[in-house]
Amino acid sequence: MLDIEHVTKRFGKHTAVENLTFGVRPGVVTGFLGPNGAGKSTTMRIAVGLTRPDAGKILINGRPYEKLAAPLNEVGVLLDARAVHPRRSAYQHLAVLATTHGIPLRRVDEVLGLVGLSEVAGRRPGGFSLGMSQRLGIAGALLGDPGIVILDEPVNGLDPEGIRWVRRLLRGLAAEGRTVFLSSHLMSEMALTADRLVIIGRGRLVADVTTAELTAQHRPALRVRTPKAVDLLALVPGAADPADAQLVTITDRSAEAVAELAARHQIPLYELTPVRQSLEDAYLELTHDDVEYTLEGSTSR
Amino acid sequence: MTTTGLTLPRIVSAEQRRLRTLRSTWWFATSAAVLTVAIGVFPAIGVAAGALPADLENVGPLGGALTGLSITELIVAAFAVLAVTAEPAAATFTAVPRRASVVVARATATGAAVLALSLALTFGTFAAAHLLLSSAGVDLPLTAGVARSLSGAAVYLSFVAVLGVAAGWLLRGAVAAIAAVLSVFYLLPVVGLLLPDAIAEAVLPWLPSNAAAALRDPAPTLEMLTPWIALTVLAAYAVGAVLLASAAVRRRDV
Repeated sequence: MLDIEHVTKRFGKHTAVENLTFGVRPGVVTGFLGPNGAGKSTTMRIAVGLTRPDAGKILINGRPYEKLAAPLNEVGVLLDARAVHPRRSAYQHLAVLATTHGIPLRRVDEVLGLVGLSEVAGRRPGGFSLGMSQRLGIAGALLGDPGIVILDEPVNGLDPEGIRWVRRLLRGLAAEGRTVFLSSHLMSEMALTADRLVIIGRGRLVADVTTAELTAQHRPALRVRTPKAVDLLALVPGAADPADAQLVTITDRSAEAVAELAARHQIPLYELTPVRQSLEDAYLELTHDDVEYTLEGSTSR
Repeated sequence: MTTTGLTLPRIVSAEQRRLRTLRSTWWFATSAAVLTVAIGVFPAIGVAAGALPADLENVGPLGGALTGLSITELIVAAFAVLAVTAEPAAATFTAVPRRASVVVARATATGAAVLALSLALTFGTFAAAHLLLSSAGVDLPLTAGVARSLSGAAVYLSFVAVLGVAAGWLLRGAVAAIAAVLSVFYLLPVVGLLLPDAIAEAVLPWLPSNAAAALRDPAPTLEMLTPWIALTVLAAYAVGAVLLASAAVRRRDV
């Protein structure tokens, strides 16, 4: 259980996180979504004590991270997969971490096997691909068999097979009753992995919903062109396009149902196009006002 | 089975593993050993080869064993600073959020490693000089003063290591930190000379460089601190530097 309570963090004049409050529950995968620079990494760094908030606090099972007697056994963290010494072997990197807690070294072999790095255990991470580094970072996060896992962009740099592997792993961890909290700027990835989505933009909470709720809110729609737009809208729920009298958007009906209904009422249809508003669209709509850069902005520079 | 969790001995042990699992550590040790011994036996070789008179007049009571010390000091300073600045801090502090423990443990591990190597090097070089001189018929006795001097030099190198670790935490950049450590030994004494005589006389012996000299000099002069006071002074400086570094590291974001 992870409680983010009224957290604010400023870097100079820039407010990275503003009065952010939400909880991350065990047993489900919680996705932390937002555009680049939205404050996801800052929030995660505050959770594990690397960054001090200006106001508010983040509690791990009711206690601040600094007060944990065995942090690695309670929280597994992957923040920056490249932040390891490039010339200390993967095995020894994990062994150093394990030693701080008295975790037996056979656990190092176990997690290396779990992430599929056993064969390169003796090699230096400086020569690793980003995908291998991510695996090493995940191994480090799992070292203490923690009840909470916090991962910042864990699928970054992984190949499709690796992404599926991470997805299965995280769902497995959640199924075991652990708290799984991972960030991403990719909605498409989160939709497949997360049960719950916490969406932020410019450091503020935009939405805190289940993936199912978000999907339900943004059902597919139909784009219909007809000379009898008013007649059609009397029969089905929808909206007329303010700019084009012939264009209507119909919701909550299948294309077949609308076509048959129109035929029965002798309404000619020039166009009938299913418009899938994806989760990606829903996400972009939610965070549209919060992206730090826009196309207009880039031309004025 | 013992429970897992953070303890200071475990953190120190992790820091020792951190040092010994880098190849660069062994390169530093090797180059320190080669240079310390090679330069340290040079005067004795001079005597053995007949280039210098066959007595201790020119080589001194240590047989010249500490001649290479200022080079060793540079290697130790670089090693200790890099033990901090080359290590990514985030992974360290997520495993051990009690940051002061990490600072103390790294200073302890680094200082202890340097002390062990330095003792082997100073006494080893002395032994080599002893053998070389005896081949020329010159006796180089290991007196109490000589033993104190050789140990004192090792303590001094260990002190440089602790300062290097502290400077690494405080300044974060390797170049700045190494420069800071060297300034303590090469710049502070010069600044001290600019002080009015009365003040200089009172202050100079307490500078780290002169306290260190009092420890490693086989024949301390009267204005120097006595060895035990010098040892206490260096220990106090080391503790002060580590406390300062801990305070800075605790306060800032990683």
